Amino acid sequence: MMKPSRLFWKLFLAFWLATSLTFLVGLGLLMMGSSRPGDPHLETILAAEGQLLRQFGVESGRQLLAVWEHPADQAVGVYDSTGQLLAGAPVAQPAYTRSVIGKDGAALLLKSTHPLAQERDKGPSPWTPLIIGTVMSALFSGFMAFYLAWPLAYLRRAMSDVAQGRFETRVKPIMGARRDEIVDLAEDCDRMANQLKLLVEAQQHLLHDISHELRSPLTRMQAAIGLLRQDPARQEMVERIDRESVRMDTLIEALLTLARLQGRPESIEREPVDIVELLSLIVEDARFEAQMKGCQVSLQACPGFVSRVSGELLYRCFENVIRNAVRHTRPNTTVMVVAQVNGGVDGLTVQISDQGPGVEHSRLQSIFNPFERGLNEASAGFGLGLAIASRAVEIHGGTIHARNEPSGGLTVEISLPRWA
Amino acid sequence: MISVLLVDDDQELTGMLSQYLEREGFEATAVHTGEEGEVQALSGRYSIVVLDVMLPRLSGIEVLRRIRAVSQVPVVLLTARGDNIDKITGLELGADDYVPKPSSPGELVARLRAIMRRVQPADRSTSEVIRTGPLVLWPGKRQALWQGRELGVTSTEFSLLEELARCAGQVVSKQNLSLNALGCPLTRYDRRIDVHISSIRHKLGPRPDAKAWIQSVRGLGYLLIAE
Repeated sequence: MMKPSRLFWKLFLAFWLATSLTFLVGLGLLMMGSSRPGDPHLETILAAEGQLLRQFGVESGRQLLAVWEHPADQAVGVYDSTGQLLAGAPVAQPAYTRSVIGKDGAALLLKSTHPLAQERDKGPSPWTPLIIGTVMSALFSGFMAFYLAWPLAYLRRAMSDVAQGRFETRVKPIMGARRDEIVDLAEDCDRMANQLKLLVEAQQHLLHDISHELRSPLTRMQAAIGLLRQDPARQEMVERIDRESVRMDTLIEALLTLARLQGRPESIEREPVDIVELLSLIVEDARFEAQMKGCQVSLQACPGFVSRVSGELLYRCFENVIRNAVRHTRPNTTVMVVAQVNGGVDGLTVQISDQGPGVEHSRLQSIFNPFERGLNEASAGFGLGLAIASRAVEIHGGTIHARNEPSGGLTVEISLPRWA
Repeated sequence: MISVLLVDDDQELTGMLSQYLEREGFEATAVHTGEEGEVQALSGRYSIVVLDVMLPRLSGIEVLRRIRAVSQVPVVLLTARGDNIDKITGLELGADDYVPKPSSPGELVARLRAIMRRVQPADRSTSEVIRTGPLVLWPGKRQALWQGRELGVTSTEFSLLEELARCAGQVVSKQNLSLNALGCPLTRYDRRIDVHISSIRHKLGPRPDAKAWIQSVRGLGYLLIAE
């Protein structure tokens, strides 16, 4: 059982006050109308009668009592000092008697069969319904306040669990079969905890991969240093150490690029860039590399597509994908780069197709994850190129997909919207 | 010539390590997948196996498990520095030692030599027998009998058991165990001895009075109960 919260007390008091006031006002109205509905009030009659007798005499008093439509069991009479009935109906057993001095100075007695309201026998005490009403409204308010406040206490506890890194906490099951906005909030809270858990796990995984990737060149450097110590004449080991250090530097730079791409789309600097021109620059560079394998890189592109993008990030993106294609295409084949304006959504679609072995169907998505590499490419790269490309496209609001062509080979399709 | 099997997916590294080991007087063969590593390790052609824990597909730990299911060939694990879980799991599964990555190839050679010294004692006669309670050890043949039955222990476990049996009934310090059985001094936070001892305890089973045969004496070391 949770300790009642401040919210509980606030809601409780608010509900209680509201229901109590409603109840009291209702009760007041009821009591005012309850005396004799439809009859002039007995008190008023007696007061008016007294007034008339003092100011206008017995005759006026008689007229008033004559026109007073009284209930059958009620009677009011005016008597003189000798007990003679002067006006109204005879009153055998007066419950109320008042002496009045008439206009002519005679002492008169005003008698009524019924007492005044204050003096009448009180039925049930007016406090009884008041107490019952107040208690009932307290119970109702307490229930309502508790009903609203307790899930929030659980939610708060779940949030503080999440803040302390316990992401497996779940609130929804505690809510039972309840359905309202608070349960929606609990569901959102659970979803958030799950997302955070996945995110943290992904980060840890990434960190693990990064340390492993940094360790591999270090281990090779250690081995090379060992060989050099063993035989100082082996100068080629110095080259090797040099190469490994360059490799580490490249890896760190790629990692920093990837880290920069984890930010929000607003965080990158945009400038007007002709993406087709960018592509032709990259293809030019890639041709040089491809020639060594006897391969071609062909570019079929629309005249130009200018958009506000980060030229540097898109350069890296297309460079990574195209160089990847050149690396995997079979010797003496052609890598096709096709860029065309997508009229429907005003965007650019670039397809990069190689004639290599393709990728297993199950890995078509995961090749865009960091450090994801084919089994025989341990030394080919770090597996960050496609991850960087994918993030760069996403941050520009575009999409990237990979698919195997029926004729063999892999096609990576990148669609970029025009960013004005 | 001691023949070493290197199992690591980093071909450049195994190339350099092979060269290094060959100059140090070992015969080195490298394979690059866990599956191949398992087959080669069980071929009986190698006196010692150096196994990387981070192998693609079939992990080094799984390869070790499969090797230990049938063979007691000495295995040294290459683990990522700071990855304690791999270390402890590896030792529990019967690895003889581990070398963190990255470390110098000299370190690896030192560990390999220490293990080989234990496995191939050059100066001991094969007739030496150590008996204590239900335990009979032939250090020359690296053979152990426990309650009349063959005791399947790794070479490191054998060396530890041998050290304890030589001083049965007395406390042997962890430092001495490390120097004499593992061939290197004890380092801080070194859990290797404890993990190996726990594995031996498991193999020996409990005494009739439900106590363990090997008692740990806090702050001092371990003791094999003498009967």
